[in-house]
Amino acid sequence: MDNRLTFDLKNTDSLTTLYLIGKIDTLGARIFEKKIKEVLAQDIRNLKFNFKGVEYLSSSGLRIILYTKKEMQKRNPDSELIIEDPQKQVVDVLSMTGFLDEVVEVEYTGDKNISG
Amino acid sequence: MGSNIKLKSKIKNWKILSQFIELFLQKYYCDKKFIYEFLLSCEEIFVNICLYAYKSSGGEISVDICVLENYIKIVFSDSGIKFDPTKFENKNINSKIYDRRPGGLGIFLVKKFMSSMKYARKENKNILVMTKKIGR
Repeated sequence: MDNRLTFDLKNTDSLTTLYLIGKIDTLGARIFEKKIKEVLAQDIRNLKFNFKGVEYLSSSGLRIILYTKKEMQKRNPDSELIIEDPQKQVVDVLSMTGFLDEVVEVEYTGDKNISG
Repeated sequence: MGSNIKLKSKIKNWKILSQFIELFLQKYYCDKKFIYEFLLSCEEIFVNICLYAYKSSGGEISVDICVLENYIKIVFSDSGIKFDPTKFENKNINSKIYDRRPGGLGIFLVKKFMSSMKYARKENKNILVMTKKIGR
């Protein structure tokens, strides 16, 4: 098993938060895709990704984010995909590619002591 | 001062190549942002060579990295079919995101992050040279 990306899933009544830790490069994206398909197979209403532990995101990861958003919108056209606590370099990539605001919303939980 | 590595064109080899590049960059005190942008660019190129230049046939990819004055230079060469990633333009970056061709995103980022990117086809090889300036 490749340990470059690990997960933690937290469910409340209306919100599912997937915590990701590691690298979402081309190899991590494969693990991410598998995991997200598993998560989307459940009847979830709102989904958040916590990216505090994500130090690296490349275009292969962006593709999975876009896929997730499309799948969520099939269920509910108004659904939003929130990325919580992303590191600076990851926000830069989201912003440069037009993902920020158009595909995902970024939220910070108040823990400002984020490395990056 | 340089270093070379030769790898089979398998996506899983990105793990080995990324470690090789990261170690080299750390030796030259490149900061976290520099390493991230450099690695991301190399990943896009490596994956594209695996997927497009070699497709299913597979082959060898040779990577040379060196430091040049205030630049880091990296050269990818492969014997696959002609594939010029610099032509892989994402003209529709301003179009609605859901309609975009997914393939162009990576190269768009490479062009943003690297200082230069040049392609040549020599002796049936694809040669891609990229540089990134050290410092701000």
